[in-house]
Amino acid sequence: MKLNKILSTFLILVIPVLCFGQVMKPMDDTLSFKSGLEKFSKNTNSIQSDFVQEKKLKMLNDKVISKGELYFRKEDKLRWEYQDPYSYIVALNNGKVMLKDEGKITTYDANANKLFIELNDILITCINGNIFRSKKFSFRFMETEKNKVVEMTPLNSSMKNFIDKIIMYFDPDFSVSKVEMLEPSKNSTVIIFKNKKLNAEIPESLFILN
Amino acid sequence: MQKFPKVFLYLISFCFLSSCTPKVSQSLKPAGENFRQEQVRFFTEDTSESMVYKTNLEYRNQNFSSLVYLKKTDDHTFSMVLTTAFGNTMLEGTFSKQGFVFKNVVSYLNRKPLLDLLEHDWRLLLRGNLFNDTPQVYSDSAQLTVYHFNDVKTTSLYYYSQGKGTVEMIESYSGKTKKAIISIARMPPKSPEGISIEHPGMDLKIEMVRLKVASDDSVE
Repeated sequence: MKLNKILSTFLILVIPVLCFGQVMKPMDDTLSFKSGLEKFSKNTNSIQSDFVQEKKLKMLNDKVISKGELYFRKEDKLRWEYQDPYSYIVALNNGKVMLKDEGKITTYDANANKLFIELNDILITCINGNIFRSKKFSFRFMETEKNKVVEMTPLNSSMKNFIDKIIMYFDPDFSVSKVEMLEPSKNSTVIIFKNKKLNAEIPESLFILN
Repeated sequence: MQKFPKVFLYLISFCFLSSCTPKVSQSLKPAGENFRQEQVRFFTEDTSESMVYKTNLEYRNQNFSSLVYLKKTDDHTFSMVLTTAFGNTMLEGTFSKQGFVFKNVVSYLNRKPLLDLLEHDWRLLLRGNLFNDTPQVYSDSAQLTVYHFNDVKTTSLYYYSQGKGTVEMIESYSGKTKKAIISIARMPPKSPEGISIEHPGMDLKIEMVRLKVASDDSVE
């Protein structure tokens, strides 16, 4: 009986570690993380990165992978380019949203646009280091052996409609390495950033679609 | 004195009703043994993988890009998820003979007329996968058989090409009004490569192009 109890306690403690590979615990020093992130954003004028996006659809018990490239240039120029399995580019430049879908350039639907702007606002403020000033989220600071992790829970109802939580993983250099978006539908999206280049020269033409 | 208006009313009602009856239902024959359910079945019954369609919705010169995931999730049910191109879920639907149910619908799509429209379109597309109703034949030639289905509020015509062995177009009518025109690009026995849906009365067009093909893509 006692052995069973010890065994089950052991399994409860060990299984999460085996399953997830790394243990998440509250962040030891949030102040130095915040100041490190602020320093990183001050010194970073551009980011170029490949990304792999994995969408998990609970109802269909299926996952779909897409790939592409991301370009960011200070202060607010952004280009998301999906290349596989479809071609789709969204560029944000001086407050304008441009979309190129299979060669056709159009403007975004107002509501979908709102969501896009919300998501990009999150990404840009994360890169700028301003995210923690946002009143749109509550924050939980955690860490694993490899990453600093920030869990963001939306406070406003329009955002809650789309997103339950956003979990951002930061590399030791304070750049974002992974973003997890958990939805009320229990579907989730994980974006992993690879081959990051900081402060590389990114031509203006990438942020103009024609 | 009172009889004249009554006769007049009957006459008007008769003229009104016959003018509302779609022309298409005026020369129907039983489909007989030439009709097989597979002729109106478009999607694979494979339950292991989703079909993915890149979808572009054009409404009054506004464009909205999205992805549609469709999969047979059990013996009697198809499930569908609509997401933005970025992957955020906009709505989910489960479709079976018992009903078409939408859930997890984001607030700005949660409008009855819009969900009714989606249900209408998916009922037309999944007819051969979910239902066993026998049509009548509107017209028949060596190249083309037009099957006529009578639904609760609408009638639908399925244009079956004998040469290609598939339905190339569906027209749906409410009374005499054309409600939807669906064009299907398909190499049987595979699921459609492209689907184009037009709602003439609403200035709405939906274009779907298949991205991911399930390993077992055969419909039959």
